[in-house]
Amino acid sequence: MMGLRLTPWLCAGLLVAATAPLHAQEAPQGPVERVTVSGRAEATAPLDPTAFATVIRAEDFADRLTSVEELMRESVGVSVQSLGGAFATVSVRGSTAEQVMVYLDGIPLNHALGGAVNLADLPLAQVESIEIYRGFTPASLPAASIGGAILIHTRRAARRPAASASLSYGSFRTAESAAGFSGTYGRSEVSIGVDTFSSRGDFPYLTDLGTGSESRDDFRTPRRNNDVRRDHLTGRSTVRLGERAHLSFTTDFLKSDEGVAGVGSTLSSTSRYATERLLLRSELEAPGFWDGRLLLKGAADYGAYTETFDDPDGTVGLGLGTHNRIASLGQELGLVFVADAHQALSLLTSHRSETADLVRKGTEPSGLGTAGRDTLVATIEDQISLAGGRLLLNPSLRAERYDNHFELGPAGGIVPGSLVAGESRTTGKVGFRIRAGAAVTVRGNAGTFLRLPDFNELFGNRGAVRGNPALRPESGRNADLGIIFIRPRLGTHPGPSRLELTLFETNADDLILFVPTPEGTVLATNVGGARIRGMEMTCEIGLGRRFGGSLNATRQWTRDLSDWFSRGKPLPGRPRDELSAGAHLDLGLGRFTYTFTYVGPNFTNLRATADQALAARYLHDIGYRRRLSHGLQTILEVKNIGDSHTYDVARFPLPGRSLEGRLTWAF
Amino acid sequence: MGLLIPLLLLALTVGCGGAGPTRAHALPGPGERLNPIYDVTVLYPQTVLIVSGLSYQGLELELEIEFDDASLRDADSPFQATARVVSVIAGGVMQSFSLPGPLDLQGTLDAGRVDTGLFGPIQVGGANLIIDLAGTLVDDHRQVTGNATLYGTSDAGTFLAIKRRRYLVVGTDLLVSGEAAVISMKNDATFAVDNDLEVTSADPIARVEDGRPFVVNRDTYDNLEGLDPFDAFKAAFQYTLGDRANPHDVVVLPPGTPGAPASGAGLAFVTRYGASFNDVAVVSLDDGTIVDRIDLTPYALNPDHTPRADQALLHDGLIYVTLEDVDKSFTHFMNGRLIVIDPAARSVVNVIDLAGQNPFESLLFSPETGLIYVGLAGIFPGLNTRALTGGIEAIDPVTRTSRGLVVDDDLLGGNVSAVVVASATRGYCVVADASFRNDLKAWNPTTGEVLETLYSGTDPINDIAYDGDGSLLVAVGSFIDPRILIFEAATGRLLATLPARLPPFSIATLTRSL
Repeated sequence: MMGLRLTPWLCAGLLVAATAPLHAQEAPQGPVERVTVSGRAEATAPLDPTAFATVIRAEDFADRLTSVEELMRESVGVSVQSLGGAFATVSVRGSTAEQVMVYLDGIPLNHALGGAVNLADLPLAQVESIEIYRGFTPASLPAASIGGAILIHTRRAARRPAASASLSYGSFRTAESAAGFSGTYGRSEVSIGVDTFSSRGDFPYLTDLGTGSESRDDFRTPRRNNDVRRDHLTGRSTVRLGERAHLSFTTDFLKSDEGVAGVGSTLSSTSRYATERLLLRSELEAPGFWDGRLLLKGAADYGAYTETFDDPDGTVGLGLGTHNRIASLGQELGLVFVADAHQALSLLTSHRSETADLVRKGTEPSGLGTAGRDTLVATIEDQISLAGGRLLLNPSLRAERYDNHFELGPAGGIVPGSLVAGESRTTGKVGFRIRAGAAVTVRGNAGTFLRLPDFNELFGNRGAVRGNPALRPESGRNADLGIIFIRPRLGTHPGPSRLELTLFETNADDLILFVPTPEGTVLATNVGGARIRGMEMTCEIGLGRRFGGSLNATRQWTRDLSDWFSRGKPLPGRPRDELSAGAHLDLGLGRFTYTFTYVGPNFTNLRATADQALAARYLHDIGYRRRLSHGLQTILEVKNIGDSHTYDVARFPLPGRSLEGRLTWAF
Repeated sequence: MGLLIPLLLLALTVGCGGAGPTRAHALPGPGERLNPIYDVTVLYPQTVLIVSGLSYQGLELELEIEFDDASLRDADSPFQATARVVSVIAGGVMQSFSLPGPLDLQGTLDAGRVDTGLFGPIQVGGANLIIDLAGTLVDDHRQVTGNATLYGTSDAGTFLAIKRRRYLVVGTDLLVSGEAAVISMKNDATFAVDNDLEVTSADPIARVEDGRPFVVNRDTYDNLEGLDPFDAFKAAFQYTLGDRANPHDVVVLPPGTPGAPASGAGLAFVTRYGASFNDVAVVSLDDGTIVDRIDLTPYALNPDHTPRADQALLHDGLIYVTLEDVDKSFTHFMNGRLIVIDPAARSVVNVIDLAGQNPFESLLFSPETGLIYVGLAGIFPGLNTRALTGGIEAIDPVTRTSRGLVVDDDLLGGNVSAVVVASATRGYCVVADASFRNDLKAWNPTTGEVLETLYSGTDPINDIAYDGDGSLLVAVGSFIDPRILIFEAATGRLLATLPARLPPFSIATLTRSL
């Protein structure tokens, strides 16, 4: 674990803590280990040493003007679908966006009402690190799904008081400001950050007026009603209790308001979408019991979401607004027991209760109903180190029980009265890691995962979507195998180089698709299936102290195995090839950065018709960062320098060339 | 027969074919009218054909004749057509054949008598067949039967030409896109499907107006697409109708109709359902320019005054338009209305209040009863509580008054989502019951009696169409098993089940008669 400083943590994972033998390099890390990285090294997944994961640290993007969305797009095995404004979702290894669990400081952001997590609602200013688990969700997390998991950690307190502030401004009247403060006072650590973001989003694009067969009426026009305003506050405090225990509180509040512009040619000037999100979490972790072989942890979190959609002119939907309130309350209890120097066992139980009050705006009565879900999860994970630590085995089992219920509101709708649905499932995973010397590591995993049906699928949206309480969870069988080569130095210049090659396959069954019904609604049904095979390559290279570069490439083959007309076709929205490359060159106090992103041609419909496919995207970004005196730093970046006008999803236009600058002051 | 066809004759007849029709581009603007196509069986029972030294008695030709629509519709009797040879059978054996040139016809159609004139040659073995067909239109122009002669011989023959039925079917994935397909029915018996002809929107409505195929690309696509029947139904044009116009239906004035321009590609009247439009747009088919609009806002009684203009029908020189009369949020439904528009004056001349709510995707005229029929869905379950406040309503186009509901949806047992009338005693409708089953029911347009249920299932029936030639087409929009059902309309007997590549969404009849 060269270059890693281990601190005990508890969440469903392992510790390491105490005992001396366990500090040895090949001791089991266990599923609840928390790793604080103090330098680039082998990219071991902090929560699962056998998993293929990408870890993005704050220093990786400190020299750039970027976003969570862009960082995801540049990561291997990850696809981002953007609507060209303040909404983007992520797909991992060909999964759907709903099949990827996203955690913010341990709190799952995927709520039971449904829909994917919007990456734009994850401001980067306060982020310390991002972990992307591709295909396999660590057992130490309370919720798992087929696509894997993304963990976002906000900044931790510095040992001595530190503060920073930054201001950014750029094209399309995009402005961002952020400030943060942290420090350690006695037994307490405090960190607080605030940031705001706004943009007009009125980039020019080519509209075809919906007449794809007729190009003579195409013209360039600014994107309308694509603005966004977002305010964000995050805070954390940690108190040391006794010698080893820690009690921490985190809070995160986000408020956003954005225009809903609509698909390329179909513009709305009045539709709006507003979100409020409040997250609270407390964690207690206590290592050191039983001669330091037992670590206990407990956590509780609360999330409250308000989502408001206004469509006064019916230009996006049917002229209906919605106002949904979602509340989530979760508890976790876990332990890690280190049996000996070769084995660590961890247990986690968690319970989550979620409710969604669904309200239709502008009509009386307005209450559509209340949906609820209780989820109980128990996981057990073993970590066995053999052959002097060269072989690591990591099996785990996850049992989950969920119960859904729906109470019809006075506004009525399709669902007749109250409904309940529940089910129990057990899934499992096994992973291994073999170290063949210091430079070569082989890893592999196989397992099964579930995605639970969401409220929208189970109970409908009281409009065009009919729910189906009889839905089964989506299930997936995942497998991957990869090899990692590490060279600590290349040629005569110091600097780590790393090459990772991975093969993966996912077979998904019982995928939930919306099937049309006689009266023009759609009914969620378990008729979908898919197979995704692919390969990933990650290469990092350092040439001396001035130059570094990286290359991520993903090729995947997708096949729709649904029991309907699209069977045998490639899945839409999953480009076969994606590639990103980055490089930096340090000259004096300045650093030049360059990023290239390639997203291959992409089908947009289930029939995979070529004339409806999106063209490949070639995007080049360049930037320059310069350190000034007194803790000041300035960054200038030009994105999409080729001014390539492209589209995503169902022809949502993406911005062309843009320019942005930032001034940062750390003191 | 061996003495048949000397080279001299060949030269002569090639010459006669060479002056055949050049394909008429009737419209100066984009788009073409469909041509009538007849499948012809020609029999010469006594003819002896020698091929490769073998003698075969009895000659059977399968031909396909496509008549030039423009030359048929003009005032004189001559017409032009093109024949294609499907097969040649001699002595019961399929024979190979060749054509030295196109089989262009210059015939006459006069008082129900059809004469193709000589056309050919069709080379079979050493023989060159030159044919003349002369017969009479029968069965309401669905067939032509008569005598066939073979040039240079005294062999007597007969022929039977049967109108080919064709249907434009647009399917959808309900997400991003759809596609157009054409179903052909040859000889009243054999079906063929040409798939994937052109990409459409995911919310497409197929229409044939003024003999021209259109696709109305509705919500969020907002355009009118014209298909070219002479280019495998590829898009000939695509005219935008305004952002969020949500066009629902189109009527095109045939030449000579009051209000139709004297020249050019014509005018289309398009209902614009979108809450920001509320009108019928008058669209030049020459270039897509919206030359006028007929505001329907004054005729909506709901609080938002959104008429929600849906279906349009051209009858007796007037355009009838159904108004759903629903507010912006689809929560306040008034009774439906039927607006009568004078296309020449481009103004509303009558407003007919309907007895039911939510006139929904069904508006038709029945020559058999002389009445206009409107399907009224009532209130579908979903956003609102389900209500059976519709049915099938009849309108007298002479008095322009409603005769009330012919069939109440209470009697039908569900929301009516589609209606057709095949005869004075047999119509069909699609009914969605409370448990989301779709029923295809037969009803009597004269008595209002509900006759029988032909089909019932949980698969959605997206559209039904009566082709005017005795067949009822049903679009079963299942995602698992998308298909077109074809029934004999007079009896309700299922004739065929044709699989579809995409869930079929809308059907229009392409068939044209002599």
